[in-house]
Amino acid sequence: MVKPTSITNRIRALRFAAGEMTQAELADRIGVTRQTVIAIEQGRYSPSLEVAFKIARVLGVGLDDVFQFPSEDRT
Amino acid sequence: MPFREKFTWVSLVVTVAAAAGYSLFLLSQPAGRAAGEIPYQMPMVAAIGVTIVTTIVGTIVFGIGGGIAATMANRVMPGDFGRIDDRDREIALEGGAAGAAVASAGALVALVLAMARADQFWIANAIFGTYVAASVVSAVVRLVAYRRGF
Repeated sequence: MVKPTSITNRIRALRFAAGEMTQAELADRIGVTRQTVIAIEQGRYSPSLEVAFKIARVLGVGLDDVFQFPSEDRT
Repeated sequence: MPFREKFTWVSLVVTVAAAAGYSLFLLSQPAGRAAGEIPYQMPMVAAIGVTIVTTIVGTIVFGIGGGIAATMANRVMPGDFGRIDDRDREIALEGGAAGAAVASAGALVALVLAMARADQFWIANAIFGTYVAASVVSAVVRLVAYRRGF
């Protein structure tokens, strides 16, 4: 059974910092559905590396500024 | 709701409804009637046919119709209308793998029935039941993935 990802992100904050970009606009620019952007923001889906880089590029920051992976094992 | 999620909901509801209809037909048979005498062929074909046709029509109605309604309400064509992305494909793979596991188990049951020279009724219904179970499990896994995370 699938489980939510442990990767966290700052997409929501970065969207607002980038001129209050909407989820729909971000989705269009990276070629995914708005629901996928919502799922990523809420930590319910880990995007592919390619989509992750696209998100970072559109938001104008580095990958590490968007996504964080906890150093301790929280399983 | 993503286009593929709508399709999955429609597929699940239609499959369960068709299987329920077919089950009602079996339950309506006179008590004591031998399995080999039950005219299950046409009802089963009808259930499969209804599942395929209704899923296609339902997907068009709820998918495309929903998109048109959203467009009319917002007066803007949603940019992701009908879009299928990586998440959809990964969820479809997850659901497909779960369905394939069920189908494999069901195929084994049908194989054993055939080897035991069971009546065609039991073999056909084991395969039909496998088809239904695999479809339902696959759809549920996909919907859970869409709703709870993947």
